[in-house]
Amino acid sequence: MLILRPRFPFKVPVEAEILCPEHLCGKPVGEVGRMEVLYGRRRKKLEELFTVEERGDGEVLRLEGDFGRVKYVGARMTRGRIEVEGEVGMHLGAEMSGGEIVVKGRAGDWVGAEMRGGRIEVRGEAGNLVGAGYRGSRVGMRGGTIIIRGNAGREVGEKLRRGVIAVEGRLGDFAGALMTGGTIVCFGEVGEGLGGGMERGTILTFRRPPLLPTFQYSCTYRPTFLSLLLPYLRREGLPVREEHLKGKYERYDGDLACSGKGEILVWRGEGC
Amino acid sequence: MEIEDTFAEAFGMRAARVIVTAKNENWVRNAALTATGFATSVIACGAEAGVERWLRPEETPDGRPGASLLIFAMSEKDLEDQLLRRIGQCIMTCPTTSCFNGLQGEKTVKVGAKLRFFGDGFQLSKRVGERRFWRIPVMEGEFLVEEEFGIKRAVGGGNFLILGEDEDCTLEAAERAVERIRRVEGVVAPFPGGVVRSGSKVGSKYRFLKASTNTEYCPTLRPLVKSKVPEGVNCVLEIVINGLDEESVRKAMREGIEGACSVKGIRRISAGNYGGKLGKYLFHLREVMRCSS
Repeated sequence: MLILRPRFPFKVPVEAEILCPEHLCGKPVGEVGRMEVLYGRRRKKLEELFTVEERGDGEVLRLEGDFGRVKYVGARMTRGRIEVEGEVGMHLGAEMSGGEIVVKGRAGDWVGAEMRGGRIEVRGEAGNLVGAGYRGSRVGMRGGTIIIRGNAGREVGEKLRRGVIAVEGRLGDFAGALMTGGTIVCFGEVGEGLGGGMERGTILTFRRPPLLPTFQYSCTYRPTFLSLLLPYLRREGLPVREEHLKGKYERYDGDLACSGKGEILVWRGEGC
Repeated sequence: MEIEDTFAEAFGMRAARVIVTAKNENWVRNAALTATGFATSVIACGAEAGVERWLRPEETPDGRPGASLLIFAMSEKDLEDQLLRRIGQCIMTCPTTSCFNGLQGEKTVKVGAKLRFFGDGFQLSKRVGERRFWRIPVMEGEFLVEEEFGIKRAVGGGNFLILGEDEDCTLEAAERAVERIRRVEGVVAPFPGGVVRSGSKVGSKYRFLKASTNTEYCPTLRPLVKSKVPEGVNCVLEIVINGLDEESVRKAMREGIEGACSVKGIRRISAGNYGGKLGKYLFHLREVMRCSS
């Protein structure tokens, strides 16, 4: 395991795609320290910005201290584990295809943007565009699981194609906009514009969301696949209750401004 | 009571395990028995199938009551075809059911991936963990089916014959045998109630018929043919066992024979074979029983 700590509070963003277990773990500390990152617009060696400590084996990278201005942590990672003890910056786990990232604090925008596999858990809040596709891309997240324990910002799961995004807190506006597949689950309140322009995919909420007029009620039923999804989310530590498992859900088809083959499932609540 | 010094001859087959679940035991039973119905022999049915065991809610993927079905066919292609037919016609049509793969096999065949077209473009796929499912809209709600099913090489045609003094004791022995066999994991006895009364031999005096009644074991023909029915035996029943591997079949045969032998009036246990020339697996009865001691 490698442990990195910032040597001083960063005044400008650090672009550190190199902070992946596969790039750093197993290499001598000296070699790791000589690797370069961008500090603002200047190239700096890792050892100039961080202390590097090696403790035991395993493909684990632990980031201790304030990484709130450190961007692209775990971007394109394929294996191993990253543990962030505090806050972390934008583009966490962007385009990753495997491995696991756990953030104990807050994460910036673009968490898991265009990710293809693996697992990200943010125990604090997350910024905007979680699991989204970058501007100009046709699809966003294409696989894997993102768990946000706190609130999440705007446009969560924008252009989502495959995979699961679960938010325990509040979901910002335009969640699931333009999504073409995959699943977004929200246990808290939901913002405006939910699923705007969605072609396919599922948005599951446990509180009644404001719905766009282009979503139409179809029926109230108990979708069998929730018997698989909800226990999976419960194993991930999300607050799935027995009433959620046994309850009925209202289904709204949309966005009818597009193909209308997406769905918003709304839990009808206890006693229904 | 004698265990004859002979062997059962069994064949290589391909098998899949289908987990069917439903809202309650009644609909699980309806789906399971329909999907494994008309599946006694590949010769005329295309598949051999049976209920491996009934599952409690905590044993199934979706937490509902279920059944584990084993379906056997002679080739991968035949098995895929049979899975599509049986799941599509017997499970998808049955209210409240869902259908899951129950076998991490050597290969997989696409089932949900093909049945999804029934959704006419409105089907949805969902990946939970590493498994992919299809949600097919139906009039009752949705049919959930796993995309791929694992298949593996298996053993079909393990058997033994129960030769008894009369119909009563022979039938009771067969029932006890099947009861014991049902406790063994990875096997099914695909015939009605697990028992065959009309065992067959290869060929017939009629050229158009591939198989005909097993004259050697028909008590009524004892003076007319070269009979294997000893004096004092007036009824013969056969138990056929298909299993996911050789060891499961061997264990099931042992359990079944022990169950049958516990009934008074059983004179002999024998087995059906083709002289050892056709089947890949030979189960010598005395060896099978020696393993138990």
